Amino acid sequence: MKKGVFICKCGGSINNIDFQAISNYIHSFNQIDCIKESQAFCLPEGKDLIKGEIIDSTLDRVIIIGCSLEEKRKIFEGILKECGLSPQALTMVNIRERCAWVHQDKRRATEKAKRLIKAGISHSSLLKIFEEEDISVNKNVLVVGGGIAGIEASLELSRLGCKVTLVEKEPELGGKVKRLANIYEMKLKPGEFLSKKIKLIKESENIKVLTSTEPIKIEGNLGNFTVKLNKLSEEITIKVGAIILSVGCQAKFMRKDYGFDLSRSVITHLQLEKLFINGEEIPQTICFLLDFANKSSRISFLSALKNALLIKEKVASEVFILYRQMQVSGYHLEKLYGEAREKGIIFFKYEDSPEISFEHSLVNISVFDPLLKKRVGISSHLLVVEEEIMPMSEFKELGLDSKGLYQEENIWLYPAESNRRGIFFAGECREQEDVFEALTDARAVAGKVYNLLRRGKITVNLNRAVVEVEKCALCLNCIRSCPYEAIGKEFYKDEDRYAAKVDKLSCQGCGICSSICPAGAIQLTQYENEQIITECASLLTD
Amino acid sequence: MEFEPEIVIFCCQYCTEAADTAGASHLGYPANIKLMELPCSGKISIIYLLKAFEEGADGVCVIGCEEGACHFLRGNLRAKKVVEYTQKILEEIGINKERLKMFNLSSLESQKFVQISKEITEKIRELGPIF
Ligand SMILES: Cc1cc2nc3c(=O)[nH]c(=O)nc-3n(C[C@H](O)[C@H](O)[C@H](O)COP(=O)(O)OP(=O)(O)OC[C@H]3O[C@@H](n4cnc5c(N)ncnc54)[C@H](O)[C@@H]3O)c2cc1C
Ligand code: SF4
Ligand code: SF4
Repeated sequence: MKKGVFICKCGGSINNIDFQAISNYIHSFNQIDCIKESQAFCLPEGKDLIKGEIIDSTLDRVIIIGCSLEEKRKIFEGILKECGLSPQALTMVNIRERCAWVHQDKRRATEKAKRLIKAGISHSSLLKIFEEEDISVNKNVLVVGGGIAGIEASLELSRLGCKVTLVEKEPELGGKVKRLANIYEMKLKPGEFLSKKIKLIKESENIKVLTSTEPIKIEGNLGNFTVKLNKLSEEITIKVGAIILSVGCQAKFMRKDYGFDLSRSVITHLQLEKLFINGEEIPQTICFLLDFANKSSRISFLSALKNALLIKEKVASEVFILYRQMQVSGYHLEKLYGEAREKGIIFFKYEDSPEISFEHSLVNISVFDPLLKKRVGISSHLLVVEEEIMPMSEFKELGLDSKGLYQEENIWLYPAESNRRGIFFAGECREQEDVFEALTDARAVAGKVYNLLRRGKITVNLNRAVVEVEKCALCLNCIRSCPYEAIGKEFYKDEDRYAAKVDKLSCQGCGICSSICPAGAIQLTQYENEQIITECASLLTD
Repeated sequence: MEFEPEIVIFCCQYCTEAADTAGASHLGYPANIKLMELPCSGKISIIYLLKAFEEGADGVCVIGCEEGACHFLRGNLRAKKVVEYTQKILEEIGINKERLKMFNLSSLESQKFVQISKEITEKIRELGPIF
């Protein structure tokens, strides 16, 4: 192994470090094959110097002492690649942001810089270089759930050239949109809108639709999933590279929270939509009770405001909306709220739950409005209550978040991804969405899936977990602790035994498994225990 | 001369961004602090922590992302457990468990990183050399 150390003075911006002392210090190490200094190694002259040295001194490890900015790292990795080295051979020691710029005292900054350099050199000595590896992946996609999100995702994927299997557990596609009488701000009736989309699905050669079908088992990992489907008790097995779950939500009346049953005068939002679809008569006074169980969603507000306006316009009856907190964040919701106020819909805010009693065909509601500072009584022919939104289908393999919706991968960085690489969410099962949001979401997710699979192969992360088969005691701790379900149990032919096995594409390289393994049988390729311990010891001793 | 404690901070790759931003903004912190970067705080193990003390650290910290915001979903929760368990071991062998502490941060909180660094250095200075 031949190591080269390059000391960068960063154009004079690292000025409270004694470079002479640093240089002497580095010269005191024996196994270093070249030491060079420059004002700026990231500029052309400096780059050429590194290149020349790598080639002349046949270096295979490069240590750069200076900054460790991400963009600079790219530059240096590029140089290594040009010289035929793996970018993994690079070690950067940051004596700028992590030393010179934060410590005033020159003597102490220099002492600390020495330690950082020592740690960097020991890191570099223990570096292992792994071959880059591509794994071929199946380019076909399974979309589960034929609501608007599933339909749109399939259409987008098909447009991009992917072969899609779209499965829907009901006999027909359409999902919840089929049960709506109209969609706010959409000219088409939901039925017409859906038939247009379904027609496109039927015309597409890339999409195979299976209705009355549900997945029963998902096996495998990103790129190579095997899914068992159940179509009216017939079992079908398909192989796909990625899965989009767009299974929507189930809307259920919260009998327990409300404490009374549904009846002719108490109906849910979806039942109200049905009254509209069937063209049934809407009574004189109608009251929407929102947020009663503190589980309200924006979509309930959308639905209440939209239908309140509709009733007001068509039937000219008296419409009340009772709410705890008005939730109007989102597409056109604020506007809808303003419109509802203008058109004379009566809003009452409440903090303590309203008292509700029934008298013949009337519902009596008594509510204290903290804004009016007074108790109000309403007699209504119809009370519209909310449904609770919960996941439509359970997949044992995937966790749920605190709202009971599907757990996402880190929501800030990777929305739409599950904790299993290759399984994505789209539409309402992930986050409460209106139709427009569901459409955009579905297209975005389809784009993401396409991007992942389009090359037909995926490059394996260089930093990942590997199992040393002989050491594995098969205690299963790693399997349980991996947040990405990337580890399974497998029979190794060569060793003639079972051991833990990490899926190369699913592993994200966090290292949790390796720190939990009691046998020390799992190591992260770029953070082996020995490396970390030696590096840490170097940091602590002169 | 005043006692200068040796302190190692095991920091997840995202929280080191906070440290680097502190550097870029020239926000000073004690030179006693030395960073060990891990991919995730969940990579921390008892052995790293104990070895750090054995090699001469007077204080050790683990910094991971805020709970619920771990880039690897629950690495920081695991780190918390490992730290708590190691604290017990330290107590058993007669080392003040205050010498080991876990903090949570986000990659943008460079000020907080500086504050933690100062706080821990003061604390360990107070406790004195470990051996
Ligand atoms: C009362 C109410 C009123 C609304 N009003 C409006 C409105 O005015 N404007 C608006 O924009 N939005 C409105 N919405 C929201 C709209 O309905 C949703 O945004 C939309 O339905 C989300 O579509 P989706 O495809 O994500 O889910 P869904 O429509 O729920 O579709 C999910 C599909 O997956 C299928 N499925 C579930 N599990 C499985 C399984 N295991 N295997 C196979 N298939 C499965 C289901 O059968 C279903 O067909 C309203 C919602 C409600 C409840
Ligand atoms: S934790 Fe270690 S010993 Fe246990 S199954 Fe995993 S690799 Fe094997
Ligand atoms: S490194 Fe993390 S993601 Fe990879 S197998 Fe181990 S626990 Fe799972």
